[in-house]
This record gives sequence, C-alpha cells and structure tokens, in this order.
Amino acid sequence: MAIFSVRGTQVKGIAACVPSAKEYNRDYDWISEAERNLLIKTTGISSRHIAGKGTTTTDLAVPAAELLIRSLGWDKNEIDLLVLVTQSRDYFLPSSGVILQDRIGLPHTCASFDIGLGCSGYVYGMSVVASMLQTGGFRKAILIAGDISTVSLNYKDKSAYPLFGDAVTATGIEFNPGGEASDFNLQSDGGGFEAIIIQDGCVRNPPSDESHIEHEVEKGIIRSRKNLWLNGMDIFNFSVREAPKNITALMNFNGTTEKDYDFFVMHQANLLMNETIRKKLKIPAEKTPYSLKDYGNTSSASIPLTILTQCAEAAQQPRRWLLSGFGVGLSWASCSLFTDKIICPPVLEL
Amino acid sequence: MDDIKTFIGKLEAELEGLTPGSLTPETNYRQMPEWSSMHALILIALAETEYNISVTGDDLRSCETINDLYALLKSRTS
Amino acid sequence: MKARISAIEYVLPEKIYTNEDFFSEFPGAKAETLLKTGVRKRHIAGKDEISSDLAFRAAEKLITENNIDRSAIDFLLFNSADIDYYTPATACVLQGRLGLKNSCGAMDILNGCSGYVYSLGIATGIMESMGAKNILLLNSSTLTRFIHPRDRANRFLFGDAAAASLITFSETGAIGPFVYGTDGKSFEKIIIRHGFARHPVTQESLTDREDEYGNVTNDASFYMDGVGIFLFSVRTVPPMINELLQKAGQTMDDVDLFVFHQPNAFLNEMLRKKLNIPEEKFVHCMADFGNTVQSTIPIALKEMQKQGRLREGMNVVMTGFGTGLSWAATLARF
Repeated sequence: MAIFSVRGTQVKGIAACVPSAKEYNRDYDWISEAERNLLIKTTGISSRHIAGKGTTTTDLAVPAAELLIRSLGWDKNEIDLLVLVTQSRDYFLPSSGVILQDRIGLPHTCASFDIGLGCSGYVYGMSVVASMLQTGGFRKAILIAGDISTVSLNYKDKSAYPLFGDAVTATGIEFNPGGEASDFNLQSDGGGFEAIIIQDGCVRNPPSDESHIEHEVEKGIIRSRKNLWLNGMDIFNFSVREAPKNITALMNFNGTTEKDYDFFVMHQANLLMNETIRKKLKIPAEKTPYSLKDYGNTSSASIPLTILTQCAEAAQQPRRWLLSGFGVGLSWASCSLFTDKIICPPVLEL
Repeated sequence: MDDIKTFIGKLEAELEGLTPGSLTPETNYRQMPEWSSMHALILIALAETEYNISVTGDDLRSCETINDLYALLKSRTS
Repeated sequence: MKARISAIEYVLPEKIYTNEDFFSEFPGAKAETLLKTGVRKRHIAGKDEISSDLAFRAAEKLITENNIDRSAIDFLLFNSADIDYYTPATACVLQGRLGLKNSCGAMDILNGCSGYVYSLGIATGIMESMGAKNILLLNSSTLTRFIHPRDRANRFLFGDAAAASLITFSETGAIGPFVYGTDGKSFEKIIIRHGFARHPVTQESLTDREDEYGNVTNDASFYMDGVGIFLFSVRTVPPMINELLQKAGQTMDDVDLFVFHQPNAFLNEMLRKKLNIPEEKFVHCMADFGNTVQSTIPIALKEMQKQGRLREGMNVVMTGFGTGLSWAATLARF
C-alpha cells in the first residue's frame, strides 16, 4: 500500500488545549547542571505543560474542540465525523471518542471512534478522516489528537522525563470535492514494538505488585514497569533512517521536491533527532518549525500544535505542507497537504 | 571520508563542553567523565549528517577509542 | 472501486464453559430467564491468552486456509477493547508477529459492539480512496477477563473469540452505504470504570457491589445495565435498519440475509419481529459462542457460509450496537 492519494481534504482550523501548569528542565535537579544544560540544548526542550492528577485526554479535548468549532463558526449539527487519536483514553470501554460526542454536544448522527496511535497518529488519523470524507458521504470532521503522557513518566528517568509534555489538539476538516489531492505514506514495523513501551498495566501484563518496583536501568535512569520505557538509541537510529526514506518516497510518488513545500512539520521528538532528519533531507531550517522549546514532545498533538504555535500567521495564506510523524509502534507516516487558510485560535491553557 | 584529524575536529565542535584538543585518536571516549548517553546520540547524529553513515548503540559499545570509531565509520564508507 | 469481504476465519479459546458448568456453579440462578438468551456454551480465554493472541491465531488461520501472500496485505486493522499495552499500538505488535511488510499501515480501532461495522467503514474508505488492495481486519475480544466471577448474568452471556476478515478490492463486490450513530451521554451503561486513564485500578476499585438480581461487580470489572441496553437496542436498531435501506434505495425484500450483532437471542428475536424479517433471512448465532463483542458478526457470517445460508452474490445487512453507546449498520454484496 504505502503511498496513495486522497482528494478533497481541506484543513480549515486547528485549536489546542494544554494544562496551565509548567515544568522547566532547568529545574530538573535529578541530574547535574552541566548535564541539564546539555540536555536542554540537544533536545531543544526548555519547558513542558503537565496535566494535574486526574485530568485525562478527554478533559483537554472538550475545550479544544469547542474553541475550534467556535472559531470556525461551524454549526455542531453539521459535524458528522469525530476521530480521536490517543493512547490515553478514559476507559477500556467504551471508546472515548463516543464520550466526546456528548461532551462536545455533537448530534447522535455523528460517527465517532478511537484510533490508538502515538507519534505517527496525527498523519494516520488524517488519512482515515481524508478517506472517509472522500468515500463515506461525510461533510465536516473533527480530528482530535493528543495524549496525557506525563502521568507515565518516572522523575528519576533522565532519558524520558524531561522530554514529554501534555497537549490535545482539535483539527477541523471539510470535504471539498474540487480540492487538491493529499498524498499519504503510511508504514509500520512491529518488530520494534519494545523500543517505546509501557510494559505493565494493560492486558498483556496486568498491573501487579512488581509493576511498581523501580529498577536502575543505567545511571540516572530509574523506571518501573508501569513507566514509559524509551530506548533512545534505537528510536534515534530508526527515526533518522526511516523518516527521510518515507518522506523521499512520498515526494517521488507525487513528483514534488523540497522547493514545492512551504513547511515541513515533523513530529516533535527532540531537536537533535529532528535536525538530523532535516539535514539528511537538505530542507532549509526556515521551513522546519519547532514547538519543542515550550511544549516538548506532545505525542500525536505535536504536529498540529507546531502548525498552530509556529505557523499561525503563515497559515492565513494558501500553503503546501509536508507532515511527518514517527516513533512508537514502531509506526511512521508522512503526508502532503494543501491548505487555503487555517483558522488558528491561540492555544488554550486549562 | 575526512582524515582522522578533521573527524576529531568535527567531533569536538559537536561535543560541546570538551576542551579543544582534549580528544586524541587514543582517547577512550566512553571512559571520559563527561560522557553520557546524550553524547552518544550527538555522535550518531554526526555520523548521519556528516557522513551519511548509520551507527547503532551496539556499534558504539563495540568501540573503545576514537581510533576504533574512526575505523568503523571508514569501513562503512561506500 | 469496490471493497468485498472475501474470506473470514475465526478461532476460539480451548476452554469451554457450558450451561451445565454454569448451573452447577450457580445452582440458584434463574434458568428460565437465562436460557432465553439462547446461549448453550461459551469459550473462555486462559489467563495468558489475550485478545492479540487470539487475533494472531485467527490471522494465521486466514492466511494459511486461503493461501494469502503476506506481502500483499496493505493495511492491518486491529479492533478490540482489550489491547496489549497502553503504548505501543497492538496493531503494530501484530504486524511484526505476522511478518507483514513494513509498508503495511497498522492501527487499532477501539470500538466495541459496533466495531465490526465501523472497521468495515474504515476499511472501505481506505480501499476506495487510497487504493489499498488487501486489508486484514482482526476483531478480537477476551472480555471475560474483566467479568467478575460472581457476575452471573454476564458470565452467562459473554464468550471470547477472534475473527480475521480479508477485505479485498473487487469489481463485483460492494460494501456500503453506512449508517452510524453515537450517544456518548449513556457511556456508563456498558463500562469498565477503572484501569485506563480516567482512573487507575486501586484497592477501592475492588470493592464489590451486588445488584437486585444477585450479580456482583466492581469498578475494575465489566458492568452492563442490561435492561437499559435492551431498551436502547429496541429503540435504536429498527429505525437504523430502515434508514440504511432508504439510504441504499432498497427494500426489505432486496436483502437476502440479516446478520446482527449477537448480544442475546431474545433481544434479536424481538428486533426481527419489529422489523418483520422472515425467520429464514435472519441469523441467530450465539448458542455456541455467547456474545463475543467485536467478533459476533464475522463468526455469524462464517457459520452461515459453512451452512450454505450465505452464498456468493447475496445482499447482506449487518449491524452492530452496544457499548459507547455506539451503533452502525451497512449492506454488503458477497
């Protein structure tokens, strides 16, 4: 499959909601000051927004979606598709997308479901929305993407704790039959599923007393099995190898070059990794926006959050975008999008 | 592929916090007090962007000195 | 461009729990009421046999029985509520276990009882707009692990199973149109309250509650408002079927077979009568399986194929309804 083309996808607006509480990596006293400075410089992450205990993805999704709908001036009754991309839904069942239908005040005729993906989730979610708009008779869709990741982090894990922030985004997408094509390239490699993982707590390894026992994996890295495990080196190798290949294949498919795009918006993993990918693809720095500094890695929210916070003004004009997400799964995907004008209300803090 | 002197120069430029000239071909970089996993990633990034060579964590663990590392990169230059 | 369900296989866990087993465990249970649900036995997954394991077996069976070239599979959809890990996605894990190619897209679709029809809608969209040729759809449930040992009604009703469907591009096939519906206000009618992001499992989650019929549950276990769901189904399903037929420009007479989600035979029989569907066109398929959530429809389809009641060229209505609350219906030409 890999590469394909979908007609008529029109992104009309993006809104985001983050928790108001922030943490600063300069205050991260688990490691030495020298190491802290190196970390801030190489990851590009200064601060992150952290959700309070008990706040879930749906709690941030509702205000984000409401802000989006208000900003677009959409009638809620016209929205007939809601897709939630998250790895931190509220319950095993029911789906959280279904709960959002009610909390956002969408009609009963609105189809809603959850897709469980992380870093690649925004592009995957966009591909599903795009294909359903083209073939399913839907008119207006909301794609919600984001996670509360910080709840799974161990403070004493310097390889993961300073990287992640919480955010949820809502993207309004319309079907425009005469619109330009969007091209997608979706991939996966489950052979690397343990590279980013929360081992315990779900069905494969239900929570047990052992889940909470902390292990010193190496110096400065202490984790329990209910924490997020990140094999930084493997992820780094994977991302700098596969993301450029995936993007190049997409551009070969649709006959474009770097020059045809106004912006390359990558999943915000960390600055060193993203810059390596950028340099390998020879993309000019000014075409590669980052929201890492203030938000960190926000999982599937990172691409729309970057457009919203770094390209809001530029997005008022017609633009051509290349979006690329890569990471947990392993799963990676890129897409090309043409937008006329994206409504970008300021990020909401809750 | 650069000669080893140029390679060391580029390495020192990327690995900030090191006194220039402190790295020699014989330096056992993994034993340096400042060495951390972050430096390993910087090294991998350098290999990717400067030489278009993929280096894994296992590769780094198999090397002791800058010389070893240079030899590894050189062996993968096509 | 057309999509078609070209092959289905299903697998069941080895362990069987019969009605005899049930009534010897619960001698006081009201046999008369329970037997109306039409379940005779159900298969129960072992402790270490989770949804993705059953899905893996179902996929292997599908691939072997039908000589499917693994490298021809463009997309993997895994539909289940009980996924392996919070992260990564189970679809990715399965892509690796099944040895599918790296250019294969993979994602988890997390809907429950409406999951098969939703998955078909997503698969059809992927196929028709993206030009995918072969999509592997895996529907799997081991819900019984969440059912409290003393929750008699639900232990009687539910079974575990996984089904694998191959959706292929075909000029002669057609899936659609689709009708979808959502009522998130009623999300607590079928729920596992604790264990995911809203609330972790704590000591308090394990405090048991008993309802007026003697069924026990707690916040870490599955809960269903049986009466509420019954009423919801009776109110929702008939108008949905009528809407689907209207959307498709067809009448009841144009349909060869009606394959509904199988929550219980008593309810489905009531739905059949409300819709005036002749008995020979309506499928009851829960006696040997119980309610297997996402797998009920593909299991019923496969059983009907085996019995010769579902043949090539037939026009079939499918509908799923339940947890969410979420419901969906579609038509498929086999």
